Amino acid sequence: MDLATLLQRCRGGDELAWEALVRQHQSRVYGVALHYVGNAEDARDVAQEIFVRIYKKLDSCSEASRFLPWMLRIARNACIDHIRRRRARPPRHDIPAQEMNDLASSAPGPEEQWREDSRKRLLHLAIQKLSELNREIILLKEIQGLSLEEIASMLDIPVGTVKSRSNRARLELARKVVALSGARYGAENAGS
Amino acid sequence: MDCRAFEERLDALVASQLSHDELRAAETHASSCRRCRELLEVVLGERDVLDATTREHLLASLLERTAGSACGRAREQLCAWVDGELQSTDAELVALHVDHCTGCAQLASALVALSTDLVALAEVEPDAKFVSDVLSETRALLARRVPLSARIRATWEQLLHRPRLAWEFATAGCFMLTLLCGLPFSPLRSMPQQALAVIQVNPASAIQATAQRAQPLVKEPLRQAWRSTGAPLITKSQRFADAWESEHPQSVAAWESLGVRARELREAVAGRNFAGASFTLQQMGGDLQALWNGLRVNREVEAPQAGAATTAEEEER
Repeated sequence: MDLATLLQRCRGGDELAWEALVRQHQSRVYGVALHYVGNAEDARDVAQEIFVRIYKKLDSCSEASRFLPWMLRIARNACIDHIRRRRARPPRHDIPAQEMNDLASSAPGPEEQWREDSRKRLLHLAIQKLSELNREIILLKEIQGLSLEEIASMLDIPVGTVKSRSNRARLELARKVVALSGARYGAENAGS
Repeated sequence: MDCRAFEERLDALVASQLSHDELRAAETHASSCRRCRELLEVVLGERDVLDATTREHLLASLLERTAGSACGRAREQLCAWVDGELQSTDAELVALHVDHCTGCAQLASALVALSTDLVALAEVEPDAKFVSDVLSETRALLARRVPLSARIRATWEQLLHRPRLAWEFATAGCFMLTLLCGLPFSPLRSMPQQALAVIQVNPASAIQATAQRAQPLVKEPLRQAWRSTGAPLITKSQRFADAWESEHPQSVAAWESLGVRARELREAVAGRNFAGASFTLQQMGGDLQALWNGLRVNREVEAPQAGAATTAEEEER
């Protein structure tokens, strides 16, 4: 079923359509929440909150083609709200930054799976070390694949700034990754 | 030709500007003098006297003293180079730099790897309970989207399709029977034994006796209810009819007839004449229709008068 039909049925109160929509986008929403929030437990709560907000505002998304940026905008706002609340009321214990057990991979063999999971953890750690704006641009452009115009509209900055920032953010991320992996990251990839 | 003369003519030799005799003399000297031959090979680019490390160090120190390190410029263009967005000349220059610069080469490799690895981070599977948790969170909101009629219908259908429905009715019936007959303070607590005794003697008279016994229990509350609600209602409606008589003369006859019918209906119900009550109700329907027609006629008569008054007021304005 295409997204437009799914959305229309959801607006009409079709429970099955809503379940299908949640199943279709849960990984993406959870992934966004995980990258913003940084730990699995909070990300789960935030992802739920994101879906509740999406459900409440379903009527405001008129075009199916605009659904992804619209959903990511809601996700971003919910994550920012959560981070603000967390800053105002910090957790009692430190949350480990490497808590990325949910980054499960679909690699066939255990060795390959371990390697892929390691790469993902490394990437996540490097992303967490980026500046806030660079992290957002990496998340929205490189990970979620939004266009420059969509990101500019979402972050309320000029398109040119997004473009130049995007290259700088990628370079910064590459530096972090190389530094964290002891230059193995690029070499592994060149080898593979 | 000695070594000094060879060195003096070296630039002319490389530029092929020597005369035939000088060229032959230079070649003869180079073949006999190893140092001059090596010098010629270096000048012609056929011999590299520097190893790779020394060459890189030399280049770095040279760039430091002149234009500065090229890594900054290369890294500005590295993303575009990885994406294949650079023009051919720039791409060639960056490629040349990356071939010889370990740091930039590592960054370039990392950028290439990132372009594929980052996409894989877009989706992360939450745990299996996630969807059910979201659905339970949004269930209350979902109800608001469905119209009330559809919700009632769905609830009713759901109730009807429940497998326990018969059991639930049976439980409720047992509970009611226990309340009515089974407890020490129940109003019909002696009835089961009496009914059983009568049925054992004469089943037909048992039903009649039960009905007679139950009559005061039903009749007196009904009478009280009628005294408290029905009779005052009729009195009020009669007063209302009196007041109405002056305002709506055309509906009075119908209203009076309705009052008569209401009394007839009451008597029919009190006398358990249900056929008569049904007939009276039909007549009341006819009276109501007549009453309504009278009201409509009154309104139609009043409306043009009011309209005319408004028009007259407007004309005055």
